[in-house]
Amino acid sequence: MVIGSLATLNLPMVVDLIGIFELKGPYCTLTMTDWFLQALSVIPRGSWGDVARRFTMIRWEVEHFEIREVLRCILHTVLFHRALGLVRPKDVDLELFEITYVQCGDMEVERKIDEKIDQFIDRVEKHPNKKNQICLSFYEVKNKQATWFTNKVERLYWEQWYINLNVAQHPKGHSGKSNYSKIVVGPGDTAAEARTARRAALESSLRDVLFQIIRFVNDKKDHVPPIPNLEGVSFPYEITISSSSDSAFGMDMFKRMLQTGHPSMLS
Amino acid sequence: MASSNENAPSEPAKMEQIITEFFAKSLHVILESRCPYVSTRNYSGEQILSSPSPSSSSSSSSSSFRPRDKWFNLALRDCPAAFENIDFWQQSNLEPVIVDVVLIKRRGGSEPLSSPKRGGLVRDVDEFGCGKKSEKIIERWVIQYESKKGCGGKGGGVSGSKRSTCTSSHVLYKKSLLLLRSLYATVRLLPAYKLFRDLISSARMRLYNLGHRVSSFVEPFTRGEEADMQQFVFSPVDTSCGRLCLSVAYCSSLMDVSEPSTPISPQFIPEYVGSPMAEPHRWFPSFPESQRSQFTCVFGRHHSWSYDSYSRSHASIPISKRQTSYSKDPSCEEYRTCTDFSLPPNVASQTFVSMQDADASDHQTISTFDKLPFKKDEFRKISDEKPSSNSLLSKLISRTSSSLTFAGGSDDSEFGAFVLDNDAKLGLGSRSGSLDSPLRHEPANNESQVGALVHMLQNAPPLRNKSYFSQQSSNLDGHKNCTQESNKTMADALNELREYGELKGDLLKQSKDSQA
Repeated sequence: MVIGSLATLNLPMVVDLIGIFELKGPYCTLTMTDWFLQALSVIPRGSWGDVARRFTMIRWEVEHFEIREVLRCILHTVLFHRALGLVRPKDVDLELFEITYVQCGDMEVERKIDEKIDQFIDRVEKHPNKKNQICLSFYEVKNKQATWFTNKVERLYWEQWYINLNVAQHPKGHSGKSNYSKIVVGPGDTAAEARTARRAALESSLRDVLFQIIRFVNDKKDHVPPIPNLEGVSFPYEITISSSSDSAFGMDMFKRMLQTGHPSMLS
Repeated sequence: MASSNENAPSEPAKMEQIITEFFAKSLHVILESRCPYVSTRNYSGEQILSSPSPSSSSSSSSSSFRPRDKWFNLALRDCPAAFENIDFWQQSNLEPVIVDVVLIKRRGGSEPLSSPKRGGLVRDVDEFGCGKKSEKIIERWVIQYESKKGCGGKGGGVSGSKRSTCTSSHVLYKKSLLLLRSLYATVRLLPAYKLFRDLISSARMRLYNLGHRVSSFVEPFTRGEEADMQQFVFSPVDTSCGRLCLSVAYCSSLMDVSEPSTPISPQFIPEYVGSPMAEPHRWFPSFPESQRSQFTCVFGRHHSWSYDSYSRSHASIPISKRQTSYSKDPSCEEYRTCTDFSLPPNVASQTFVSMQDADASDHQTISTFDKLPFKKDEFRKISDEKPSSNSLLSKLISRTSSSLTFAGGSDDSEFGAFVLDNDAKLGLGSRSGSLDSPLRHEPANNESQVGALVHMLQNAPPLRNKSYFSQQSSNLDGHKNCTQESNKTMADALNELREYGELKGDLLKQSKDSQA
């Protein structure tokens, strides 16, 4: 399947993948090849236009207690750019980092995000060795197609955001240093200094991701549907959580194909 | 078809309006997170204007949004600086709006910088008093609409079919809306936002300040300045006749600014209202006698109610110099923030203090503190010179309740008796213990209390009147007259009280309005 995906690569896909690659920072735990293959694994075979735009974040490794803040920051920033109804923005200061992000001010959105983050944390705790992913999707509802077998409402996803997080295993001494290309920690440094340096690097990476989100949102706007006359969240969205092991790439992609509702993608 | 088009505003007009409002909104977004003096004291990263959560089906929540909030679906906090600055620009939509965020640092001085007055222009050196200051542009925002050639005039003619022009204003609005969302998020990610948040937090004094300049033409950065700046360019929004561009050049590192500020170390306030030190005429049995003398006359902090003849002896000192000496006192800032204590039931006195507290002008506040504490030597001198006043002093002490904490007013000799030094031989009793009895056991007389308070307030020095100090020396001779004047009627006193209450309410309301 991976080879099939490579064969269907076109220039826009490559450009976007390169753009995603720029996010690679100290938290990238993959080699170049692994990263590329993983990025491709989430792409259904075929035209890139199946989903108008997709943003995939490079997998990060964070501490367990950092998951909530990182996810809140990223998800709310995305939703603030997609809740295009009348809003009164709410500035929120992260507790672990010196970053202020913006919420759209909708309590229902805040509740839903917190609920999904709780589910993600539960999933991470149950499957710490799996690659966990949280996906924020925006869709349009297509006309119902009542059939004998299903009356499922078809959704046309026009944007998807993939956030990949791994929970850091408890570091043994200075074992965590080697993956962080941006951190230079001497052998004489204490664990506390290493944690501080790591925290600063994560903050820097998180800020970079937020800038990337802003650039991504601004680069293309044509695919965004017309704004309905609503307050707060203007487009339907969903947050899904998935986890896969290294050997389950194929099954994971198969599941995604089913979700996008394109039987022609099945091999 | 034609008739419907005649009723609707033309597309060029719509697009021009969208662009105009975009400029205003983006200026608002930038300045509301860069102008410290327009932020409220209670800024905590949360909404200042609380509003119900907007719901798609609720129409009542729409009523909490003002008409200008509905532009680009973004409700923002009030920012007078933005409204002031947009007026000059609206004369021409084609000129860019350039907003420079300026970091103002004081060189070599320990005095903190006050926030600039409304207007925000930082070129006025006198605004920050003496001392050199350095300015550095840490952000430059450029908002401009680049017209395409071939589109005529302001707003341009619209080429193409009517169908395409009908959608272009909608598309322009949508894209502008998205751009503003990104702008709102971006201003909070840049380094200058941290400085802004530090400034509006009330806990620390800062040796820097943020100012802004809004103009259409600026000098380009030098090479050195440009080397320190990073660029962030938002994707432009294309229209049929041009494109809307937004970009920012910002200093990525502001580490040299984050010098250690002067934290206000927690201090015990010995002279809080109701304390033994603030009311030395009222001795608390638990307060050790040995400590009473330490705080009675010479206060570490200046209080309006401790004004007395000490200031008269220093009448020759120019007020500006006194202000300087005051401002160097690190406890001054603490005092300002501590004026919110709850006052005794004498509303007039409460009004007097809150009037000074609500006044944001440093000059007025400083001049209030010119009422320096009574020094024991001065008091002894007065008491020795005016032996006949002692009987009056004792009478007044017996009249006024212990809740009176103000010793201001022309009759400082009378009210200065409240600021006692135990070591001073006042003729009222060599020991404070003898003073206790008349104070403690004298039944409170409301009418005389109010009358005495009103009289004191009437004779309180004006906030900026230098000549007042020269009058004090003559007032010592006229204390008898003052005694007579204190015998006012209850009605007069209540009228005065009511007026002060109304004045206080107005000042509080004004301060709330300015903070909103």
